[in-house]
Order: sequence, then structure tokens, then C-alpha cells
Amino acid sequence: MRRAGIARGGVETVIQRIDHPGELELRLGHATLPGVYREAVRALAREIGGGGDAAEERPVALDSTGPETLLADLLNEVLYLAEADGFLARDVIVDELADGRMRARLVGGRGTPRGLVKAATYHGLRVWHARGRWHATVVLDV
Amino acid sequence: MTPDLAPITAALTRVDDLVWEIPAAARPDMRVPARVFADAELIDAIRDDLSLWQLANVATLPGITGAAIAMPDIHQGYGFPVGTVAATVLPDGVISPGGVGYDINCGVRLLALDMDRRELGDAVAPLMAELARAVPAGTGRGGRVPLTADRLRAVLRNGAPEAVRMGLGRDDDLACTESGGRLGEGDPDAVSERAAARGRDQLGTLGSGNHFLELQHVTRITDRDAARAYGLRDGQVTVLIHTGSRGVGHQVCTDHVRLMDARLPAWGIDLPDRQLACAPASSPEGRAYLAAMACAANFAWANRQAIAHRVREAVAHVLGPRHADGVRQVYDVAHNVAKREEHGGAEVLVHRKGATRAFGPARAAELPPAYRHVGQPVFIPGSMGTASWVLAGADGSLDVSFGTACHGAGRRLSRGAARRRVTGAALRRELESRGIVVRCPTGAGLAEEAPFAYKDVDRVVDVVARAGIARTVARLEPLGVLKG
Repeated sequence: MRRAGIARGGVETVIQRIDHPGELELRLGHATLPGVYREAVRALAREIGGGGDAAEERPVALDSTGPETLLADLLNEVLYLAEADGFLARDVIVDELADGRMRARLVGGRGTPRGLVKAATYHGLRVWHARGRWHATVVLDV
Repeated sequence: MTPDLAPITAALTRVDDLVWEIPAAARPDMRVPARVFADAELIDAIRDDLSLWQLANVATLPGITGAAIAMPDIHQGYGFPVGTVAATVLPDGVISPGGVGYDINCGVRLLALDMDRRELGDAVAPLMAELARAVPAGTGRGGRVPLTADRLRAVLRNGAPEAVRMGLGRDDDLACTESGGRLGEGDPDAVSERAAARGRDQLGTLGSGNHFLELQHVTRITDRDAARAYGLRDGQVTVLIHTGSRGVGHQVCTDHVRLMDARLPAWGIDLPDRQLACAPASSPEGRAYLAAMACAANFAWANRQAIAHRVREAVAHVLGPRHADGVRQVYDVAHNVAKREEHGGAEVLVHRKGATRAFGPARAAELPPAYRHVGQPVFIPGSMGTASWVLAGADGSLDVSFGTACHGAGRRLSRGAARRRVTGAALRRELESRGIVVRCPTGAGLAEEAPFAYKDVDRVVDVVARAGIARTVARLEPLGVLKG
């Protein structure tokens, strides 16, 4: 298990990376819901590579059944672009977020994925608010 | 949120030396028992992760029949544990994409060369170098068989036969491939544009993770009759290929888990794990997934067919064209797939996730003529640097496991735990000190596949053999390994 408590602009984020025999679990925490999605993209970028310092933007339009499936959809979008288009996202700018709907821009650059992540799964997929913070768990198939 | 394992572990009882069971009464949502093939040592390792809880979850699927069954190489997965077989009764029992997995038709193909270790001599290193050049491996590596949209559709529909039509292999390869290398219900219109986009440049590629190509030799034969039928002899040089459907399968599974998850309330299906998302096989969603899954399975068979062709080319380059002509396919098996089969007088949908079909002579009609009297080959790769096994499917498998055996040694440690215990460089030195030629572009990728990260393959195979599921035929040991 690896834990990172990172203060960005006074907002602490928590990323726990827990590896299991066949997959990788991310446990995320942030003061805001958009922040949780942002940390998820950043955590995935650390696994597959994040396209260096380039600042190319790719628009993303996601309509999901709720905040959990939206998290899986966002990460699976990153994986699709990495493999099909050679675009490695390292960050996301969330322009619009309402329940299961997101309009955003992935930020990254060209490259080849470094590590194999097949998909963000629905196993243990959770997004919830507690004690003034947003939390999420997602399991990646590696 | 940590699941409540107590009811499951408390209910686990030993049925006999090799079988453990969680009765259906252990949880109110279980419809059938959960059953594990393992000896006393293996069951202790199985208890350490979430495998048993996940197996109990599988037992809740609508339409499931018999039992949710785990092989001795079972380990924690997502939804279904890896190393599981579960059958649902058609037409309305469910199909669950998670019961196949993201790497649809990940499987194993064994080729036999017409020479033995002694004749190969010091050609191991140059042959491995040529294989590494000829077979793209690793993440993001494009294949040498770029596909137009029309040709990709043909591959998705027709599988390995299409690859042979493209000049990648021989007709006799198809006769020794499970299902002839093609599931007939594949419909390319059921495959999303995204899945097609991911697969367009991946035909003939190994991928990464636990995918590999291994040059081996036969070090022990335990069933002379079956070995003779399979064309295997002492000391013979073989090549084992382990890979699947690459991005096509990953995207098909992603697409359909998403679709089915959204429809569960409409069917009144309540599941303990969303990754078990499913649909009645007869529903439009169920049929769409089965059509797309078949396409991904067909892509995987075409993929292994293309790689086998590259093996022949490499052999021709290093050893000469006569020896390339002498490369013969022993068999090709899928270990992540769902298939319509007849068991116990009923038509069922058999989900095999990290599990291999193991038909014996009773299912002769589905086997190559030369193998009908001994049963189909089953390949059990061990961890890198250890042994692999060739087994023969036994009729006993139909009685106890829907005609299914294990698929490998089963992971014991996570990738991260393996990397923390050994570096890729140290592992490479250790393998090379044993005379094994290693071709792997990344040290991390190598370390993740260290032998200690896996269970003991000899022990896993022993359980399967003693349970009457399959019998051992030959043990293969590595001479060289290529992985991504």
C-alpha cells in the first residue's frame, strides 16, 4: 500500500494505491468532487505514463448513470485514448459536473503507455461524501 | 468497503481430500453451493484473499446451475475470481461479461518443432533474438499486420481461418484449435467502433502483463499413449504462446459491463458486486454481448495464429525452411470465454474465467480425430522460469467441473509485491544463470512475473489430476522466454 497526502493550494488530497494479486485498487479523497475525478486521472497517469509536459487538450463528454459509473467512464476514456490514439492524459479540467454528467478536457500529450491497465472495473466502485470530504474507490484490471 | 468474509470462511467445509464447499445456505442470496478444488496447503493461500467471497458472489447469479466452481489456481479478481467456472441454464440464465474477463479468449497455443534439445544446440539465443524481432511485445506495440476496416471485420467474424486465408499459417493448424479457431455467432456489427479502433493495429502482437512466448523442451513424459497421440517425445523442442484479444477484448468487456449494469434494475437483478453485471442470455443485451464476445474470441485466435506464423518464420530464418515446415501445432485452448455446451442433459452457458476446457474421449466429436481416444490437450503454464504442463482432458471433468480444468499456477502475490522483492535485473541474472535466455524490454515487467509470485504449478496440476479432471502427459521446461 502506498499513501500520498498532497497539499495543493491548501487542499489535501489522499491517494492510496493498493495492489492485489490480479488488480490495483485506488482509494481517493479530496475536498471537492471534481477534485476526486482529477486525482483519479492523475493516479492512472502515474500507472500508464502521463504524456510528459505537453499541454494538448482533448474534450470529453460523458453521460453516466451516476457518480460511480462516471468515474469508471472517465478512466476508461483515458485508457481508450492511450491505446487507440497514443494520447496519454495526465490531468483533467472539469468544466461541468452534475450527477452522472461531465464535460471536461483531458490534458496530456503523445506517447506510448508504459504499463498495462486493461480497464477500470465496477468491482468495489464507490463515490461517497463523508466528514466533509469526497471519497472514491476504483479497481483497475492490470 | 471491506466485505463481510466471516459467514463465508465459517461455512467452508472439507468434503474430501481435494474438495471444499461453501453451502448455498451460507448466505441468503446464494442459489447454489460454491466449491473449490484444492489440497490443504493451497486452500490456506486461497483463504488469504477475497477469492472465496467472490466465488460465493458468483453463486448468486440468476440461472446458475450445479455449483460455482473454483480450480486450485484460483485467486482474487474483480467480480468472478480468476480460476472459476460457472454454468447458467439457457435460454434465460444470465451471461456475465465479468465471468469471461477483459482479456476475452486469453489462451495458450503449443507448437512442436521437429527437433530435440540436443539438435537445437546453441541456436537458443539466436532463435530467441529472432522471435523477439518477429513478435511485437509490450504495451502499445503495433503489429506487422495492419488491418483495413473490412479486413478487421473479416477477422472478427471468422477468427483463425481468416488469418490462414491471409497467409498466416496452415489449414492443419485450424484442425488443432479449440472450436476450429472460430465462434460462429460473432457479429462485427455488435463490436463498438472503439473496440475495433483498439484492435486495428494489434493482430500478431503479444501484449504485456503475463503474456509471453516461451521456447521449451520436453523433460518428462508421464503418459506415453497421450504423448504419442499429441506428437510429443522426450527432449522435443516446443514453443508455448500465451496471449489473447488485446484491446478488442478489453473494450468489448468495458462496453457491455456498462450497458448491463444500467439495465439491472429493469430485470430486477440485484447483485453483491457490480462487476458481475449480467443479462439474460436470451435478451437483446445478452445476445449483443455474446455476438461481440465471439468476435473478440475470434480476434484472439487469429492473433495467436499470426504469432504462430511468425514463429515458423523465425525458425526458417535461424534453423532453415525444412525445420519451419516441421513446426506442428499441438493445440490451442481458450481460458477466458463463455460457450454454449450440453451438460447433464441441459443446454448451458459455461463461463470459464481463468479456466480451460478439458474434454475427454466422451466428447470425441468435438476433438481432432487423432486426440479422440485420449482427450483434448490442456496446457498449464507455470510461472516464468518454472515448468509448464501438458495434460489430457478426462471424462471425469464432465462429472465435477463442467468439463473444465485450471489454466495456470495462479498468482500468489500482487505485481507490486513481486517488484518489491526482486528487481528485473536480478531476476534476469538468476534465469540466465540457469541457461534461460530472457527477452523482455522492461525490468519491472519481468519482476512482476517472478516465480515466487505464483503458486506451485506442480501442486496445482496434482490436484487437478487426482480429482480426475485431467491427467498429466508431459512436463515442459523453459529454454528462453519473451515477454512484454
